[in-house]
Amino acid sequence: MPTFSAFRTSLLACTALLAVNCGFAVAQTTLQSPQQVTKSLGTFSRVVLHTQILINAKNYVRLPHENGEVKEGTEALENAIASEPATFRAKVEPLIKNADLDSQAIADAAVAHDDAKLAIAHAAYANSVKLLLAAFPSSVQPPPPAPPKN
Amino acid sequence: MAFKPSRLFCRTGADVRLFFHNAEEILDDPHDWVLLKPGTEAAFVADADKSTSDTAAIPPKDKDMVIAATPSCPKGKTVTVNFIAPAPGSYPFTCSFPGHGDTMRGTLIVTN
Repeated sequence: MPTFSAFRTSLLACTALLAVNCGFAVAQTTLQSPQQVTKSLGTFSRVVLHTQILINAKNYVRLPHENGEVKEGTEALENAIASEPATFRAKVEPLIKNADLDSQAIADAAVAHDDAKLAIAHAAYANSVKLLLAAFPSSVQPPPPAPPKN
Repeated sequence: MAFKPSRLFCRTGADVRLFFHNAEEILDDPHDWVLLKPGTEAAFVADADKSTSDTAAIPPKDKDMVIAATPSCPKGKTVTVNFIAPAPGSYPFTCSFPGHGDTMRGTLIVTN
């Protein structure tokens, strides 16, 4: 006969499985505005590349401008997912906020001309964007920004 | 963010008129189209990436690298440039806005 502890463990396991299944179901959901989501996410990933280029060029003046682009991308993405289920938004919105905060950290480090903090902030931002993109179905994830093959 | 198409073709000596439309939908970044002499692209983009300009602008010291260029083009607008197609060969083009040159690039192929 199962003990209460075993029952509780089973219940927790079932809950966890349910949560995983819900997450999977959301990831497979067809989004209401897939093109707008793709374009908005593309802004986040584009800034990963652009900030790295500007960091390499020590262009401290232009780096805060990239944070402005993230804010524009954030607004566009929030509008694009406004009609999605609350469970999905609850999963994505903290990831957007993390990316915003890490982007702001890049801007702050640029203003301070602090190369060490810039490197750390850029790595954090790149990771935040990676996690943000992974929260969306692969069908709406933008291709990584790269020069065209000529 | 990219030039579409990224490969253009024309005959040498042709009187070329190019229309460039900035189809950006989210961001307010301006762009331009800068046709460069072969072999100058890396140096041009490196200098453009250091520019503190808030618009697309050719770095003054790199003007000799440029064959033709549109004015800076705001979101949703169209600009034009006229030029005579140079000698046969492959000519790189890019955007001079800081940070854009690595993804906004293409090639003009000039034939006989």
